[in-house]
Amino acid sequence: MHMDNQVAMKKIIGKFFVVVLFLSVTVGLYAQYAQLTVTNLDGNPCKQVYVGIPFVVSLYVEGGANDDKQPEILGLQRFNWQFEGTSSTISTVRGFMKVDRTYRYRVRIDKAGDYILGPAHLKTQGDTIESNVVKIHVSAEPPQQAPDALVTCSMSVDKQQVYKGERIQLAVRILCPADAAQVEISRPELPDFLVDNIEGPISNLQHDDETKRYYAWKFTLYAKREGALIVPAVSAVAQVPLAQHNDLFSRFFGAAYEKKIVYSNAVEVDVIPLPAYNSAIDGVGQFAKFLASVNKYTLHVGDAVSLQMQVEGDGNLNEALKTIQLPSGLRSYMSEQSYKPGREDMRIKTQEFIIQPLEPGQFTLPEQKFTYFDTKKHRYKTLRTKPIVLDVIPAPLQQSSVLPVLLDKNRLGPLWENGQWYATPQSCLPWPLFVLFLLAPFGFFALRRAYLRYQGSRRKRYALMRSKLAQAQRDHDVAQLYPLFLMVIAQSMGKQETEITIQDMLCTVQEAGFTQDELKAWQLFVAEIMQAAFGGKITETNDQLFQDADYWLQEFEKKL
Amino acid sequence: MNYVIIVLLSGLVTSGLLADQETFLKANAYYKEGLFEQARDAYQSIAPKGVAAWYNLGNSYYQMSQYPQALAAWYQALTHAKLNDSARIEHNIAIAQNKLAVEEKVGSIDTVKRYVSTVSFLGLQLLVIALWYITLFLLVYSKYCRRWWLLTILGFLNCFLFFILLLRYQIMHERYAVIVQPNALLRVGPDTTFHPLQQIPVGKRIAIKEQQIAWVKVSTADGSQGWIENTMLM
Repeated sequence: MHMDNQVAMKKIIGKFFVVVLFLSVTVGLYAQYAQLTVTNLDGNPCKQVYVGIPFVVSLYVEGGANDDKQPEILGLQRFNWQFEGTSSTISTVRGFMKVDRTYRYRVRIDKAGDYILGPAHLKTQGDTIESNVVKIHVSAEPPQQAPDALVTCSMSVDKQQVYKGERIQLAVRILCPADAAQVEISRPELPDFLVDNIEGPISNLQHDDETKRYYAWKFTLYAKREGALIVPAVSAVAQVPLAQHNDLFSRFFGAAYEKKIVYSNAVEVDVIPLPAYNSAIDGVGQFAKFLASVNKYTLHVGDAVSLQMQVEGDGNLNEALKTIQLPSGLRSYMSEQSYKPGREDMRIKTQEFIIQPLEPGQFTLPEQKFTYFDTKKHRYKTLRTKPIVLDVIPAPLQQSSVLPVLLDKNRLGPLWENGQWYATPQSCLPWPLFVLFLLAPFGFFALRRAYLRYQGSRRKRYALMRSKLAQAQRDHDVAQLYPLFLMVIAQSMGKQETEITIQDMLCTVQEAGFTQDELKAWQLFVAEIMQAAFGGKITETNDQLFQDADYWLQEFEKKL
Repeated sequence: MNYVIIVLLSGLVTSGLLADQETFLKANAYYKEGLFEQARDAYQSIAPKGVAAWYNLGNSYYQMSQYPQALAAWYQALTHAKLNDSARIEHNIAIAQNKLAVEEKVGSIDTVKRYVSTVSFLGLQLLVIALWYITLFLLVYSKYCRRWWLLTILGFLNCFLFFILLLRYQIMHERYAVIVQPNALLRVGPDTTFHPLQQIPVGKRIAIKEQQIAWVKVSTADGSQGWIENTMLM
């Protein structure tokens, strides 16, 4: 009996469990449930987040319908949020389809404090699913980055408190292993700032305990509105080498890197309003120079003069020098602009205006003003240029008649009344003459070369004669003089020595322009050397004969 | 006797010029009165025409709505124009091209040619000769001949000037025409029996390469060459 009771009890309990299991499965299929959770960007649950650093709010809905309805999360609208998408799991049990869905939101809170988010409501198939409520503590202090973190990212500004429109330098700096690769940052969200200039990345090695590489970006910003403005955190990505794959083999196959994503801190800038001023201002900050110059002071009507306006300062120069004050009778067009580094941390902006006079006369470009708020002395200041006087003289008839019409692009140019009606033929050197001129120097060079060669041979010839004469003088052999001079005369006439007669010797000298006295002397000299050559007479006057021979040789070299 | 001939020739030339001037002034008067046809005929009778005559002839054609002919006249004016005169002509050309929906691409070589065409050919020849003589003098006589950089610069300058001279010569002998009739067909040969290559739109400028009695060998801006009837061009 006792055994029967035990068996019956077991059966009852067994059936009870079966019924409970059946009921729980059946109820589970129809049950609807929603849960709101907060995680950081790595997916880890957290209760504390940081000012300006985004985190993830997830709404998990179990048993929600498979439709596109969006949940409403109470309190979310107060923050900076962005819907990131959904993920769904669909399962079918005993013919029933069940959809579990997760909604993800990227949220950023820009002010420290304690906040309550939720509950979330999702309307589905006539029912409203309600989630839990989460408490979020937003810390003003930036998160502590782990001391052993491989990659760290930080953000800073040069001024915590600025005037509206004053320049702010925002720096983002990444410190990573020296051999990290593909280091990049996300672009900061700066809707409340005017971004003027972005520099970077500037990269260099930093030698502390271990050698690391830093990358730095610099943003030049100008606050567009007053109040406590937050520059939210930026994310940084770097490919960091894996320690265990740092051998040559792994590096060769390129599998030695791990992608690291880190977030910087956020920064807050307190932007204070500018003091009231009764007219528009041109800049905020420090300005050192404001100049105006023109490239000419006298010009014709319709001509253009270039007016260069230059301002140097650390304020927002993009909006500076947009307009100039001009007297009537002149009009201006904005032309090129350029920027270059100035003194200290300033920049110089040069803006060119093209000024065109419409009528003759003397025009004074008035002083141009540049009013700015000096952020160091906390008061308004005005820089002024000097006035410039332009003399505009009437244009030549041709130009003044055509210029106004040419400015009208759809109107035909006027009749050309005083132009050249006839064509003047093109004068030119004929090509053969031109080529002759080009080649003439070569002819000159050839002639000169031939002349020099001739001169050279003649000099050599006479040098030879002189040496023979010297030899004869040393030998006291006057008989050598006649054949020597015969040779000189023959060579000057271009003949053989055997063809030369005594008459030739006399005539050649006569034609060379010697005087009558010299001719007589030459005849006497010839007679003496002939006598010496053929008569064999050697007298005491031989020295005189050699001197005469030397004289005649010199004369022939000059004149023949 | 020689003096008499020179005086007679000078008189003939002067009287011809004076007659042309009179025609030019008369044509201007016609134009101002709105008698564009008479003005056109008067401008056409001037020979050889200068830049103003070509320009005003183009204006007369334009006022008679003969835009391709106007373009042709203005292109002629442009070949005679100095640089500071070319703005008004280019302005009119742009207006006529706009009317005809024709677009002429101006390449960098065209710009260079435009500048080179304003240089006197004789002046350029004399400049080339002078620079050539200076170079040779320095090379042969001067101690500067040891300075290779100076000779290199002079060599390059010589080559550059010679290139400009050749370009100027080419420009002097270039001839252009404008298509003035619709349905102008570019053909392979100088006869209607030859295969047509393409149809050239009215107002398009073409370069003349060779001329026969009724046919002209031309090349278009895109480099196509062929023959076209003489009556299609101006």
